[in-house]
Amino acid sequence: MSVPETAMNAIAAQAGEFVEPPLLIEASVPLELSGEAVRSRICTFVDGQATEWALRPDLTLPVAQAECGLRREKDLGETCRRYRGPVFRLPAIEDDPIEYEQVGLERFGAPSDVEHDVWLFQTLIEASEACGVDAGHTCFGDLSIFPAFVDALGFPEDVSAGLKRAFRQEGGVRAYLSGQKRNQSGLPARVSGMSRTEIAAFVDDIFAITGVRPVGNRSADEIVERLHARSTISASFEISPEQSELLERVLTLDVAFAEAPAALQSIAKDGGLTGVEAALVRFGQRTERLLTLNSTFTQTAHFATRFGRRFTYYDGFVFEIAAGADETAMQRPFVAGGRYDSLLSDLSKGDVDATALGGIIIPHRVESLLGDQS
Amino acid sequence: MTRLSIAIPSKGRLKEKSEDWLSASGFKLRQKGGGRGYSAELKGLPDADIMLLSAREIAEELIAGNLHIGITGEDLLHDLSNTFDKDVHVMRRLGFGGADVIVAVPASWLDVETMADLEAAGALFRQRHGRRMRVATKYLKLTRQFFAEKAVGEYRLIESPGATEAAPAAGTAEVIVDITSTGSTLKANDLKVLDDGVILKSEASLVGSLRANWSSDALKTLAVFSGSIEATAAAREQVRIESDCPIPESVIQAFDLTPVSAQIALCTSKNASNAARALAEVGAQTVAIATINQVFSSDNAVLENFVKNLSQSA
Repeated sequence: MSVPETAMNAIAAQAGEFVEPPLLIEASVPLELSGEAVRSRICTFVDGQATEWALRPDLTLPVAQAECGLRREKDLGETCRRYRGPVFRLPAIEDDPIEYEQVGLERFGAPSDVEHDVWLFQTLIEASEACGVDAGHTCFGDLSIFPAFVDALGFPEDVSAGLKRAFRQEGGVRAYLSGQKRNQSGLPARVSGMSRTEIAAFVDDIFAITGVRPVGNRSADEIVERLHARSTISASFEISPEQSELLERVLTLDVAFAEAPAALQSIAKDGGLTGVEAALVRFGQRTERLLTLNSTFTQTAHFATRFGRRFTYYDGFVFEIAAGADETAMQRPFVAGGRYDSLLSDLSKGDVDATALGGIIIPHRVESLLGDQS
Repeated sequence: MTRLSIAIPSKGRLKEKSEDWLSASGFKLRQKGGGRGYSAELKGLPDADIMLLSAREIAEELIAGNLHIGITGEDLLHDLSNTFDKDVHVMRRLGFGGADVIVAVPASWLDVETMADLEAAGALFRQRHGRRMRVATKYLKLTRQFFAEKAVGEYRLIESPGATEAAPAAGTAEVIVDITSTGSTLKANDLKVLDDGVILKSEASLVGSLRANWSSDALKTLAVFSGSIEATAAAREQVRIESDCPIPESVIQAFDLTPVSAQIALCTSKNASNAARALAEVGAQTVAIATINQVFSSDNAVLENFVKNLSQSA
């Protein structure tokens, strides 16, 4: 049996209905979801009506889109879909193929808990073992950790939201922290402490005096809303050097997987943070459960807070397994997966809300590993 | 491609300014087939092939190595080249065609003064409209790089080959990245530049291709061309001082003069009158200061740097 067939059978043994989603998706789907950062990796073309299309960069997106369609009709409860088929990505490394196969699964509407996270990991490593690869280096991440620390620090909401978005950008948190002071001058500072009605009147006055009128798609009300959000941050507010340092420690944490829970606990303790407890308990339980699998895949595993933040729709548990721990190997994982509970909601503009997690195995990389072994 | 190929902008102010700049060094452009022809010759440089192309084409062809040298904007080179330092070498900035590539938003966006403000406004825009804020530009790569540097991810690019400044009012985009020299077009369209929104300061430049196939003949012609260009540039900063008696070593030292003969020396424009006074003090009856057209010297640092870069990238 071929590697993809073996992988598919191993996944089928767990659950799931086989689906065959379309090869083409509207380019706006990945671009709206992930922004311009993904453009350098997706294969796009424009049709006669100027609609931009993309060859699917993964199967998660078209499968999740189809799921949204079904769930708009009726509540499906818990579902599991499995798939096998080609995906198309412009290579990040020279000579990597643009088109290659993925075998994987998506599970929707299941409880968002440790048990299901572990189930996903276990399903994928069993599929890998079935194909003949029984060891690898795993990198774990959890994209809910940094936001949990931000929340626990109790910043004004506008600052918290800004920091969480900054987390998703390379160098974003540092840029955000260093931009703090500059933002305390200018018009936004002048409306500090005003009510929303007062700000609206102030903005009207400025428009009347200067003759400037709002143009295009962004209304005066949005400008007022944004100024108001800023005005709720008191002029004296500043992220302290201690808080900056704490965020930096969380952000750059990169340790052996088994040590990650204690490392995060100790950062929380040093900062006297209590609000982060729930996230850390869940993280600790999951780590323990994954370690008790006693798998060769977790023996050399490491954890990095930042890991996975560029895979833009992931929002919790995330992992990749590669042949080795070095950078070149980690750029070519043969297993990847994680949780994206807000994906269906984002794709359906809020019409559908169901949890989601899923993962893939990449047969051609498994095959090349098997080739190296023999 | 054994003969030196030179591309010059084919239209507009950039062409006029380029012609003036070339003729200051003794190279007169003559278009074949009248004013509309796209091949030409430079009087004074018979061994070069001259082409008239758009500034964008010149940048593309330099990067691809299909031209030896050309006059174009650095904005275009930066946007079109993935490996700037390996593709091209800026030999000389020409002092015209100056413009900035900038990020601009509607002047009515009172809440947005910096790129960080734009990021936050973009996030709110996405919440309200269910789609990302759009940025219209022809500088796709420069924009992507700059927004990533500033950690701004809440946007989508819309390619706009022309009249970009009209996009916000037309509703096809909310933000623009465009080139501006005076800012008047932006003002006329009720747009403002963000405080930290200058992506690149650009001007017309003489650029050599590091990808082109350089024959020894082409390099020889380049040496003639560049020698004359640099001679003109050197002359711009200097004047000629002539005295009725020999110029003493003390004055040469004090004012950093370049002696041409016993009674004649070159001097920077700003030192000239002080040097003349110093000469009068040591006995000169008459000292003349004259402007000069060109100063040829045996070394040409601009050419040497280019050739060095060329041999390193080969």
